[in-house]
Amino acid sequence: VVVDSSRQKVYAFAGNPNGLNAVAAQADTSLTAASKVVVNVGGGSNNTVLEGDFNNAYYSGGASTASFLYVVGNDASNRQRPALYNIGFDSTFKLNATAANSASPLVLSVGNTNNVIASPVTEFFNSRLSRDFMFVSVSDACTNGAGNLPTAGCIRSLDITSGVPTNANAVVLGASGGTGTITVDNNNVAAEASSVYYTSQSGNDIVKATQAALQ
Amino acid sequence: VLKFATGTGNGTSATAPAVPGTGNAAVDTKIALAGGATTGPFIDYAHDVAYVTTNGTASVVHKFSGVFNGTLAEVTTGGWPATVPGNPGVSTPVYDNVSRHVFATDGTGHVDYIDDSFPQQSWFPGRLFFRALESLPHPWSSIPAGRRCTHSPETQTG
Repeated sequence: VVVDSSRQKVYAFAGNPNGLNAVAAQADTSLTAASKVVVNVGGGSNNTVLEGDFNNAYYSGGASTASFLYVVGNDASNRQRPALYNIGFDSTFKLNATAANSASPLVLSVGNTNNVIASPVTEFFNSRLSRDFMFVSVSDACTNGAGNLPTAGCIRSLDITSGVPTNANAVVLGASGGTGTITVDNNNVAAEASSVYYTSQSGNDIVKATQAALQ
Repeated sequence: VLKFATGTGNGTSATAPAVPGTGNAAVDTKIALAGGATTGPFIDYAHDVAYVTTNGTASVVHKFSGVFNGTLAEVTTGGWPATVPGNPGVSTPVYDNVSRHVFATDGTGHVDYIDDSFPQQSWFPGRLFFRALESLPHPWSSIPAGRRCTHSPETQTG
Protein backbone atom coordinates (compact mmCIF):
# COMPACT_ATOMS: atom_id res chain seq x y z
CA VAL A 1 0.00 0.00 0.00
CA VAL A 2 1.11 3.51 -0.78
CA VAL A 3 -0.05 6.75 0.83
CA ASP A 4 0.39 9.96 -1.14
CA SER A 5 0.19 12.73 1.42
CA SER A 6 0.46 15.46 -1.19
CA ARG A 7 -2.65 14.41 -3.08
CA GLN A 8 -4.30 12.68 -0.10
CA LYS A 9 -4.63 9.35 -1.86
CA VAL A 10 -4.27 5.80 -0.56
CA TYR A 11 -3.28 2.94 -2.85
CA ALA A 12 -3.55 -0.77 -2.11
CA PHE A 13 -2.59 -3.86 -4.09
CA ALA A 14 -3.55 -7.53 -3.95
CA GLY A 15 -3.33 -10.74 -5.92
CA ASN A 16 -6.76 -12.13 -5.01
CA PRO A 17 -5.88 -15.79 -4.68
CA ASN A 18 -9.55 -16.79 -4.77
CA GLY A 19 -9.35 -16.60 -8.54
CA LEU A 20 -11.04 -13.30 -9.24
CA ASN A 21 -8.62 -10.59 -10.27
CA ALA A 22 -5.37 -9.09 -9.19
CA VAL A 23 -6.18 -5.51 -8.29
CA ALA A 24 -4.82 -2.06 -7.62
CA ALA A 25 -7.10 0.19 -5.59
CA GLN A 26 -7.25 3.86 -4.69
CA ALA A 27 -9.26 5.93 -2.22
CA ASP A 28 -8.92 9.25 -0.43
CA THR A 29 -7.34 9.36 3.02
CA SER A 30 -10.77 9.14 4.67
CA LEU A 31 -11.44 6.01 2.61
CA THR A 32 -14.81 7.32 1.50
CA ALA A 33 -16.88 5.01 -0.67
CA ALA A 34 -17.25 7.63 -3.36
CA SER A 35 -13.50 7.90 -3.76
CA LYS A 36 -12.90 4.16 -4.15
CA VAL A 37 -11.56 2.82 -7.43
CA VAL A 38 -10.53 -0.81 -7.95
CA VAL A 39 -8.67 -1.63 -11.15
CA ASN A 40 -8.16 -5.16 -12.41
CA VAL A 41 -4.57 -5.98 -13.27
CA GLY A 42 -4.90 -9.49 -14.61
CA GLY A 43 -6.22 -12.80 -13.42
CA GLY A 44 -6.20 -13.71 -9.77
CA SER A 45 -3.35 -15.87 -8.55
CA ASN A 46 -1.44 -16.84 -5.48
CA ASN A 47 1.15 -14.27 -6.44
CA THR A 48 1.13 -11.34 -4.12
CA VAL A 49 0.76 -8.09 -6.02
CA LEU A 50 3.39 -5.92 -4.46
CA GLU A 51 3.30 -2.19 -4.28
CA GLY A 52 3.35 -0.18 -7.47
CA ASP A 53 5.19 3.02 -8.23
CA PHE A 54 4.48 6.16 -10.23
CA ASN A 55 6.14 7.69 -13.23
CA ASN A 56 8.07 10.93 -13.11
CA ALA A 57 5.14 13.03 -14.29
CA TYR A 58 3.15 12.01 -11.21
CA TYR A 59 5.97 12.86 -8.84
CA SER A 60 7.00 16.09 -10.51
CA GLY A 61 3.57 17.70 -10.69
CA GLY A 62 2.98 16.94 -14.32
CA ALA A 63 -0.40 16.79 -15.98
CA SER A 64 -2.76 14.08 -14.85
CA THR A 65 -2.94 12.86 -18.43
CA ALA A 66 0.80 12.20 -18.35
CA SER A 67 0.78 10.55 -14.93
CA PHE A 68 0.59 6.81 -14.43
CA LEU A 69 0.68 4.22 -11.68
CA TYR A 70 2.77 1.21 -12.65
CA VAL A 71 2.10 -2.13 -11.01
CA VAL A 72 2.94 -5.76 -11.72
CA GLY A 73 -0.17 -7.92 -11.91
CA ASN A 74 -0.68 -11.05 -13.99
CA ASP A 75 -1.17 -11.71 -17.67
CA ALA A 76 -4.37 -13.27 -19.02
CA SER A 77 -2.93 -16.75 -19.50
CA ASN A 78 -3.71 -19.61 -17.19
CA ARG A 79 -0.06 -19.43 -16.12
CA GLN A 80 -0.69 -15.96 -14.75
CA ARG A 81 2.73 -14.70 -15.58
CA PRO A 82 3.83 -11.41 -13.99
CA ALA A 83 2.87 -8.53 -16.26
CA LEU A 84 3.41 -4.77 -16.00
CA TYR A 85 0.38 -2.50 -16.16
CA ASN A 86 0.12 1.25 -16.23
CA ILE A 87 -3.00 2.99 -14.97
CA GLY A 88 -3.83 6.59 -15.79
CA PHE A 89 -5.69 9.28 -13.85
CA ASP A 90 -8.51 11.70 -14.45
CA SER A 91 -8.12 15.43 -13.92
CA THR A 92 -8.57 15.03 -10.14
CA PHE A 93 -5.97 12.28 -9.98
CA LYS A 94 -8.60 9.65 -9.42
CA LEU A 95 -7.44 6.37 -10.95
CA ASN A 96 -9.04 5.40 -14.21
CA ALA A 97 -11.19 2.31 -13.88
CA THR A 98 -9.21 0.37 -16.49
CA ALA A 99 -5.48 0.10 -16.97
CA ALA A 100 -4.23 1.95 -20.03
CA ASN A 101 -2.60 -1.22 -21.35
CA SER A 102 -5.11 -3.71 -20.00
CA ALA A 103 -5.37 -5.43 -23.37
CA SER A 104 -1.64 -5.98 -23.71
CA PRO A 105 0.34 -5.69 -20.48
CA LEU A 106 4.09 -6.18 -20.71
CA VAL A 107 4.60 -9.83 -19.78
CA LEU A 108 7.73 -10.37 -17.71
CA SER A 109 8.20 -14.15 -17.87
CA VAL A 110 7.97 -16.79 -20.59
CA GLY A 111 6.86 -20.35 -21.12
CA ASN A 112 4.87 -22.58 -18.84
CA THR A 113 6.68 -21.89 -15.59
CA ASN A 114 4.21 -21.42 -12.77
CA ASN A 115 4.55 -19.33 -9.66
CA VAL A 116 6.94 -16.79 -11.11
CA ILE A 117 7.17 -13.97 -8.59
CA ALA A 118 8.02 -10.36 -9.34
CA SER A 119 9.62 -7.77 -7.11
CA PRO A 120 8.00 -4.45 -6.25
CA VAL A 121 8.61 -1.93 -9.02
CA THR A 122 10.96 1.00 -8.37
CA GLU A 123 10.85 4.15 -10.49
CA PHE A 124 13.69 6.59 -10.93
CA PHE A 125 13.97 9.59 -13.21
CA ASN A 126 17.55 10.07 -14.28
CA SER A 127 17.70 13.79 -14.96
CA ARG A 128 21.19 13.49 -16.40
CA LEU A 129 19.83 11.20 -19.11
CA SER A 130 16.33 12.73 -19.10
CA ARG A 131 15.00 9.20 -19.02
CA ASP A 132 12.44 7.66 -16.69
CA PHE A 133 13.30 4.12 -15.60
CA MET A 134 11.28 1.39 -13.93
CA PHE A 135 13.17 -1.47 -12.30
CA VAL A 136 11.60 -4.86 -11.63
CA SER A 137 12.72 -8.44 -11.28
CA VAL A 138 11.21 -11.89 -11.72
CA SER A 139 12.16 -15.05 -9.88
CA ASP A 140 12.32 -17.37 -12.90
CA ALA A 141 11.63 -17.82 -16.64
CA CYS A 142 12.92 -14.37 -17.51
CA THR A 143 13.50 -15.05 -21.21
CA ASN A 144 13.70 -17.98 -23.60
CA GLY A 145 17.47 -17.59 -23.76
CA ALA A 146 17.67 -15.97 -27.18
CA GLY A 147 20.66 -13.67 -27.41
CA ASN A 148 22.18 -15.37 -24.37
CA LEU A 149 19.73 -13.60 -22.09
CA PRO A 150 19.05 -15.22 -18.72
CA THR A 151 16.45 -17.99 -18.61
CA ALA A 152 16.05 -18.01 -14.83
CA GLY A 153 15.60 -15.04 -12.51
CA CYS A 154 16.54 -11.57 -13.72
CA ILE A 155 16.23 -7.85 -13.13
CA ARG A 156 15.06 -5.46 -15.84
CA SER A 157 15.66 -1.80 -16.48
CA LEU A 158 12.62 -0.58 -18.40
CA ASP A 159 12.63 2.84 -20.04
CA ILE A 160 9.13 4.18 -19.39
CA THR A 161 9.81 7.72 -20.62
CA SER A 162 7.24 7.18 -23.36
CA GLY A 163 5.08 4.68 -21.50
CA VAL A 164 5.27 0.92 -21.12
CA PRO A 165 7.89 -0.36 -23.56
CA THR A 166 6.98 -3.09 -25.99
CA ASN A 167 10.22 -5.00 -25.48
CA ALA A 168 10.73 -6.41 -22.01
CA ASN A 169 14.21 -7.64 -22.83
CA ALA A 170 16.02 -4.50 -23.94
CA VAL A 171 18.08 -4.38 -20.73
CA VAL A 172 18.18 -7.55 -18.65
CA LEU A 173 20.63 -8.85 -16.07
CA GLY A 174 20.55 -12.32 -14.53
CA ALA A 175 19.47 -12.35 -10.89
CA SER A 176 18.98 -15.88 -9.68
CA GLY A 177 15.72 -16.22 -7.79
CA GLY A 178 14.85 -12.60 -8.48
CA THR A 179 15.47 -9.66 -6.16
CA GLY A 180 14.06 -7.92 -3.16
CA THR A 181 13.08 -4.28 -3.29
CA ILE A 182 15.33 -2.39 -5.68
CA THR A 183 16.99 0.79 -4.43
CA VAL A 184 18.28 3.50 -6.77
CA ASP A 185 21.37 5.57 -6.05
CA ASN A 186 21.02 8.82 -7.87
CA ASN A 187 22.27 10.16 -11.20
CA ASN A 188 25.75 11.49 -10.61
CA VAL A 189 28.04 11.77 -13.62
CA ALA A 190 30.93 10.10 -11.78
CA ALA A 191 31.72 6.50 -12.65
CA GLU A 192 29.46 3.97 -10.92
CA ALA A 193 27.42 6.76 -9.37
CA SER A 194 24.17 6.05 -11.21
CA SER A 195 23.42 2.67 -9.74
CA VAL A 196 20.77 0.32 -8.47
CA TYR A 197 21.15 -1.97 -5.49
CA TYR A 198 19.23 -5.10 -4.68
CA THR A 199 19.41 -8.22 -2.58
CA SER A 200 19.52 -11.63 -4.23
CA GLN A 201 16.72 -14.03 -3.33
CA SER A 202 18.95 -17.06 -3.85
CA GLY A 203 21.80 -16.14 -1.54
CA ASN A 204 23.10 -13.63 0.91
CA ASP A 205 24.20 -11.12 -1.68
CA ILE A 206 23.80 -7.40 -2.16
CA VAL A 207 24.30 -6.51 -5.81
CA LYS A 208 25.12 -3.20 -7.44
CA ALA A 209 24.46 -2.51 -11.13
CA THR A 210 24.24 0.49 -13.36
CA GLN A 211 20.81 1.97 -14.01
CA ALA A 212 20.67 2.24 -17.78
CA ALA A 213 22.53 -0.88 -18.81
CA LEU A 214 22.43 -3.08 -15.70
CA GLN A 215 26.11 -3.91 -15.91
CA VAL B 1 15.92 2.25 18.74
CA LEU B 2 19.65 2.40 18.15
CA LYS B 3 21.14 5.86 18.50
CA PHE B 4 24.59 5.92 17.00
CA ALA B 5 27.58 7.22 18.85
CA THR B 6 29.07 10.52 17.87
CA GLY B 7 32.78 10.88 17.21
CA THR B 8 35.05 7.90 17.65
CA GLY B 9 34.09 4.52 18.96
CA ASN B 10 31.73 3.28 16.27
CA GLY B 11 34.02 0.47 15.24
CA THR B 12 36.12 0.00 12.13
CA SER B 13 35.41 -3.55 11.01
CA ALA B 14 32.34 -5.07 9.42
CA THR B 15 33.33 -8.45 10.85
CA ALA B 16 33.84 -7.14 14.35
CA PRO B 17 30.91 -4.80 14.86
CA ALA B 18 30.86 -2.37 17.73
CA VAL B 19 28.63 -3.14 20.68
CA PRO B 20 26.40 -0.22 21.67
CA GLY B 21 27.62 1.23 24.92
CA THR B 22 30.91 -0.65 24.88
CA GLY B 23 33.75 1.71 24.07
CA ASN B 24 31.33 4.12 22.47
CA ALA B 25 28.39 6.32 23.29
CA ALA B 26 25.78 4.51 21.17
CA VAL B 27 22.56 3.62 22.95
CA ASP B 28 20.30 0.69 22.10
CA THR B 29 16.89 1.13 23.70
CA LYS B 30 14.55 -1.86 23.70
CA ILE B 31 10.92 -2.14 24.70
CA ALA B 32 9.42 -5.61 24.86
CA LEU B 33 6.25 -6.04 22.80
CA ALA B 34 3.86 -8.70 23.96
CA GLY B 35 1.41 -10.16 21.51
CA GLY B 36 3.30 -11.86 18.73
CA ALA B 37 5.17 -10.87 15.63
CA THR B 38 5.79 -7.23 14.96
CA THR B 39 5.89 -5.33 11.71
CA GLY B 40 8.35 -2.63 10.72
CA PRO B 41 7.84 0.67 12.53
CA PHE B 42 6.57 3.72 10.69
CA ILE B 43 8.25 6.88 11.95
CA ASP B 44 6.50 10.23 12.15
CA TYR B 45 9.59 12.40 12.40
CA ALA B 46 7.64 15.63 12.89
CA HIS B 47 6.09 14.37 16.11
CA ASP B 48 8.98 12.07 17.14
CA VAL B 49 6.53 9.17 17.12
CA ALA B 50 6.63 5.58 15.84
CA TYR B 51 3.72 3.30 15.02
CA VAL B 52 4.14 -0.49 15.22
CA THR B 53 1.67 -3.34 14.86
CA THR B 54 1.71 -6.76 16.53
CA ASN B 55 -0.16 -9.89 15.55
CA GLY B 56 -0.78 -12.86 17.78
CA THR B 57 -3.49 -13.36 20.32
CA ALA B 58 -4.66 -9.89 19.29
CA SER B 59 -4.08 -7.51 16.41
CA VAL B 60 -2.78 -4.31 17.92
CA VAL B 61 -1.49 -0.96 16.71
CA HIS B 62 1.02 0.58 19.10
CA LYS B 63 2.28 4.16 19.33
CA PHE B 64 5.60 5.20 20.81
CA SER B 65 6.72 8.69 21.74
CA GLY B 66 10.17 10.17 22.25
CA VAL B 67 11.67 8.01 19.55
CA PHE B 68 14.74 10.08 18.69
CA ASN B 69 14.61 13.26 20.73
CA GLY B 70 13.16 12.13 24.02
CA THR B 71 12.66 9.04 26.12
CA LEU B 72 11.25 6.14 24.15
CA ALA B 73 7.98 4.99 25.70
CA GLU B 74 4.74 3.38 24.56
CA VAL B 75 1.75 5.71 24.60
CA THR B 76 -0.92 4.22 26.84
CA THR B 77 -3.39 7.09 26.94
CA GLY B 78 -5.88 8.42 24.42
CA GLY B 79 -6.98 4.96 23.36
CA TRP B 80 -3.50 3.62 22.68
CA PRO B 81 -2.63 0.86 22.06
CA ALA B 82 -5.49 0.22 19.64
CA THR B 83 -6.81 -3.33 19.38
CA VAL B 84 -8.33 -4.30 16.04
CA PRO B 85 -11.73 -5.91 16.68
CA GLY B 86 -11.93 -9.60 15.85
CA ASN B 87 -8.17 -10.14 15.66
CA PRO B 88 -8.10 -10.27 11.85
CA GLY B 89 -4.38 -9.58 11.59
CA VAL B 90 -3.00 -6.16 10.80
CA SER B 91 -0.25 -5.03 8.45
CA THR B 92 2.58 -2.58 8.85
CA PRO B 93 1.11 0.85 9.61
CA VAL B 94 1.53 3.94 7.47
CA TYR B 95 0.97 7.44 8.84
CA ASP B 96 -0.26 10.33 6.72
CA ASN B 97 1.01 13.59 8.18
CA VAL B 98 -1.75 15.68 6.60
CA SER B 99 -4.89 13.82 7.64
CA ARG B 100 -3.05 12.32 10.64
CA HIS B 101 -4.56 8.96 9.80
CA VAL B 102 -2.68 5.74 10.49
CA PHE B 103 -3.52 3.21 7.79
CA ALA B 104 -3.24 -0.57 7.88
CA THR B 105 -4.75 -3.51 6.06
CA ASP B 106 -6.43 -6.27 7.95
CA GLY B 107 -6.87 -9.94 7.18
CA THR B 108 -10.42 -9.51 5.94
CA GLY B 109 -9.26 -7.64 2.86
CA HIS B 110 -9.98 -4.14 4.09
CA VAL B 111 -7.97 -1.01 4.61
CA ASP B 112 -8.64 0.54 8.00
CA TYR B 113 -7.37 3.69 9.64
CA ILE B 114 -6.97 5.29 13.01
CA ASP B 115 -7.61 9.01 13.21
CA ASP B 116 -4.80 10.25 15.44
CA SER B 117 -5.70 13.92 15.09
CA PHE B 118 -7.83 13.80 18.24
CA PRO B 119 -6.64 13.36 21.83
CA GLN B 120 -8.68 10.15 21.88
CA GLN B 121 -7.83 8.14 18.79
CA SER B 122 -10.74 6.92 16.69
CA TRP B 123 -10.78 3.61 14.85
CA PHE B 124 -12.40 3.50 11.41
CA PRO B 125 -12.51 -0.15 10.38
CA GLY B 126 -13.11 -1.61 6.97
CA ARG B 127 -13.56 1.60 5.06
CA LEU B 128 -11.99 0.34 1.85
CA PHE B 129 -12.64 -3.22 0.75
CA PHE B 130 -10.34 -3.91 -2.13
CA ARG B 131 -9.58 -7.58 -2.24
CA ALA B 132 -10.49 -11.08 -1.20
CA LEU B 133 -8.84 -12.78 1.71
CA GLU B 134 -5.10 -12.80 1.48
CA SER B 135 -2.35 -13.47 3.92
CA LEU B 136 -0.64 -10.59 5.63
CA PRO B 137 1.50 -8.65 5.76
CA HIS B 138 2.10 -6.56 2.69
CA PRO B 139 4.70 -3.91 2.39
CA TRP B 140 3.30 -0.46 2.87
CA SER B 141 4.82 2.77 1.88
CA SER B 142 4.18 6.44 2.03
CA ILE B 143 4.87 9.50 -0.02
CA PRO B 144 4.91 12.30 2.54
CA ALA B 145 4.14 15.77 1.32
CA GLY B 146 7.21 17.42 -0.12
CA ARG B 147 9.09 14.20 -0.59
CA ARG B 148 9.73 12.54 -3.87
CA CYS B 149 9.17 8.99 -2.83
CA THR B 150 9.58 6.55 -0.03
CA HIS B 151 9.06 2.85 0.00
CA SER B 152 8.35 0.43 2.76
CA PRO B 153 8.76 1.74 6.29
CA GLU B 154 11.90 -0.28 6.72
CA THR B 155 13.58 1.66 3.94
CA GLN B 156 12.33 5.17 4.35
CA THR B 157 14.39 7.88 2.80
CA GLY B 158 14.26 11.54 3.49
